[in-house]
Amino acid sequence: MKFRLQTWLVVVPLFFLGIFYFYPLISIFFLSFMPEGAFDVTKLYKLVSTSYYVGVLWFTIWQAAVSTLLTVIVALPGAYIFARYDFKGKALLQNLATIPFVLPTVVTAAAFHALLGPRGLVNTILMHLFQLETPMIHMDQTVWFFLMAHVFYNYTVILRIVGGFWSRLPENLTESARMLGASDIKAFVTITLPLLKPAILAASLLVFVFCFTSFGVVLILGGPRYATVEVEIYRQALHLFNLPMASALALIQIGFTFGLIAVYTRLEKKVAVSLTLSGSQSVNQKIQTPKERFFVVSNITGMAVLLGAPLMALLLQSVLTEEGPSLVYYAGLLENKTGSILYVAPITAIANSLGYALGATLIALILGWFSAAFLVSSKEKWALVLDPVFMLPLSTSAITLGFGFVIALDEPPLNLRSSMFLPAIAHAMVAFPFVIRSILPAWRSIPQNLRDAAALLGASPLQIWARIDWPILRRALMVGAVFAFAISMGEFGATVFVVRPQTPTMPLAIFRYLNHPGSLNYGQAMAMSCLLMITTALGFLFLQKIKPRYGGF
Amino acid sequence: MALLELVNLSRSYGSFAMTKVCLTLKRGKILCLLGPSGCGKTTLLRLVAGLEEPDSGAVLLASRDVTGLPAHKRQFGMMFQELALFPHKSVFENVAFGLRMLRQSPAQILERTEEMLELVGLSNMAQRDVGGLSGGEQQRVALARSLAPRPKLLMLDEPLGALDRSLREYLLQEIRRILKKLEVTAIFVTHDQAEALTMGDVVGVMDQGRLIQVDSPQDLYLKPRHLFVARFLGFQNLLSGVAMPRGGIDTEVGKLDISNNDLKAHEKVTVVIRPEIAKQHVIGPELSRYHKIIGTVQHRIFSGQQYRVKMVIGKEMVLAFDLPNTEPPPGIGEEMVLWIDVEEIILIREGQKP
Repeated sequence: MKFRLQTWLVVVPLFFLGIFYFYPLISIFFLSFMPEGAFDVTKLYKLVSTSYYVGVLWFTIWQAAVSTLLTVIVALPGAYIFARYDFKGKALLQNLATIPFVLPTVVTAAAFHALLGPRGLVNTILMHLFQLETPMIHMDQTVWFFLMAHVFYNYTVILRIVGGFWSRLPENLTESARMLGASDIKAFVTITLPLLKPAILAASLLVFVFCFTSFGVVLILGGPRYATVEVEIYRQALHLFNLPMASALALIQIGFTFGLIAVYTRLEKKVAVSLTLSGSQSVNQKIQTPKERFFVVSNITGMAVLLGAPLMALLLQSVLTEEGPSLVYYAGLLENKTGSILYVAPITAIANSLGYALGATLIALILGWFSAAFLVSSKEKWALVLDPVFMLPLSTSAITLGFGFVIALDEPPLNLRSSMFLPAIAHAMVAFPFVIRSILPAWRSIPQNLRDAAALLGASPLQIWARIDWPILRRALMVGAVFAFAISMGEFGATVFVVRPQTPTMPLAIFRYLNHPGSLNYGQAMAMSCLLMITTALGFLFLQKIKPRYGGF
Repeated sequence: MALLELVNLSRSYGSFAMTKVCLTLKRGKILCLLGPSGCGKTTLLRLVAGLEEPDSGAVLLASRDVTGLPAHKRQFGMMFQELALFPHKSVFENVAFGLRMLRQSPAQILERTEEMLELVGLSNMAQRDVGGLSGGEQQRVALARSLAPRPKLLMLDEPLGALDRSLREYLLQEIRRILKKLEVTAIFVTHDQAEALTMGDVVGVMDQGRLIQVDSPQDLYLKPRHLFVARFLGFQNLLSGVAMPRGGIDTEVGKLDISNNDLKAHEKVTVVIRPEIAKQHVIGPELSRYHKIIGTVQHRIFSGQQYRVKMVIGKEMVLAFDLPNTEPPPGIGEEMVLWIDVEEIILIREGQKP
């Protein structure tokens, strides 16, 4: 092994994982099973057997299932047209459709407020049109409000996974069925649907996991009447200070997400295997008949309305004041009003976010780099064990992580509760699996014979690294950095636990603005959401531009 | 009687255009559509199948217009280039699919499916997964599947494209045997002229969206009427000639004594000399039928059944011939005399270019 150091550096990410991932998680276990220092399951059992606890769990499953079903129904036609037709602007449209997915949850919530909330664009227009005193649409604080938001940001998951699979299903399978006497519908039901099933299942499961662990939109759009497990952990821990209950809930959350992710991983492999049977050629036909044109155009229009309208509404609402269009909300971000709900000038929240994001990016890059270096150079056996371990933070909800931080790291031996580094570390924990996934495929894609060839041509190990490895890895590292930065900027779940009230981040500021009445608060929520949306969207579009060709994210 | 009639069938998309294809096919005959890739043969097939609709023209089945009828109601069968076996169904279920669509009784389905599997020699594989079959076996499943519902017309779109040569030749004969046994009317699409000549009762050659010659395999081979057909059949000895006022054709290898009754004086023609019509020796009485050419051997390859030689005539005229293996031709660089049977020479008129 040439780079011994490269292998030993894995100690750094492992150390970090130990303290900032496993330690908090173990603390949750201890708090659940040993609430008063001694092993005592009865307390846990009492908590778990209450109708309240069961109710929260049931509601969480129910809303995730309904969201998933709605998303599949809404997105399947879109997946079909993306799989089968070739039209102008298809790639751009696909990228734009992904933006809702990468937006921070608070921005999504703000966008839906901007469109359909009591002060939202639609209600404002309707009130003007019909001379009404009160809003006409009452979506706020209902289940449908956040179910819609779930469809909004998960649309692209179905579109990409099912659409991608579908485009590789040979068209002549359905043609074959038609030649054998099956009508279009019959061919779809007997041939296409059974073949799509693993992809639909895998995508649905992923959407289910996202909705199961949904926090921000449920908290903001659902209001106090609704609680998923995530929201309930937050309330029990931060509002009611019932840590054992929060802990018991976190336990169930950990169990569920790990189970679901395990099933998903298996399904995903099945999808990859069953694809190898089909031909490699993907049919991309031009739109020909008026019927096809109508189908494609109406679908794209529907998609644009569902995905575009909330974002457009957000942009509009950030500049529309009661006195007409103005930038007053943006200007307000610079002022520090006395008695403000933020305690500090909004601009400080922006500065905090940027600071944490830079810190988180730096930490995530170092951890990701060291981990990837180990996975590339070590024996397969070790990589096989550690790769999933590094991915663990991905399958842990941010709320659980944040809660774990609070109960584990606020007392000796590690009292970091008031440390400025804590938010950055929490964000880095969430982001660093993404960094590994960005770097690793690139690193693995460098063929050894490239290095051998360079060595035979007289390059020293250092020169090889500088001329071959680095130029390829540089791009991947940049991708990882953008990922980490965007994740940190938008992170909400862990942030509500680890950030002190006097150092709010942008998502926290938006959350507080939305929670407090008043048009200025509302306008500032819109303005700040817009800034966050634009930052994230730009980051994402930049990623699409420099995206390496080999797999990864 | 004609089972299938195509009347002025046209279809265009993008830069491709298939123009006014007319064709009739008798019941029980196999038509081979031959042409290079992109010539429109697959498009024609899809129009007949009803998978695409023509811009204009009509498809008649037993004198009934079926142009607007959707594919699943035509009761045609199709074997696709990539086979398109249903990967999630067993061999049995693949073959039975069409019968299920006809809502036949389970007993009927079982009987017909087993009969079909027997016919293609896969009786013992009924419950196998199609993914685990070899290329040749998959081919047979596809054939059995398309034949099971007793299609009025079977279409085969380069069904042997993906297989290796020896297996292809074997399966080709198998398919022909089975189709003939069941008296199926079929259209077989291929870009391989040997495959087309072996398989078809009738061969139609397509180029740039047009059907330029439809003939029996023998007539197509011995009397190509277009330069494109001659080239596509692999004929390399193409000379330009001019009809002479008092009979005969003037060419670069001398005046050929061929009757040119249907040609105008000084009309330009292409002279095609098939590679197998040359002899090294000719006996007395036949002499008048033969034209003598003299050249230098440039190239000589022994390939088992024959010698393939290339000879240079004059400065740069190169002709290629296949000579029987009984007598070795002269060595490279040596002079060679060959006798060409003028009655076997093909004339293609200018302006009959596709």
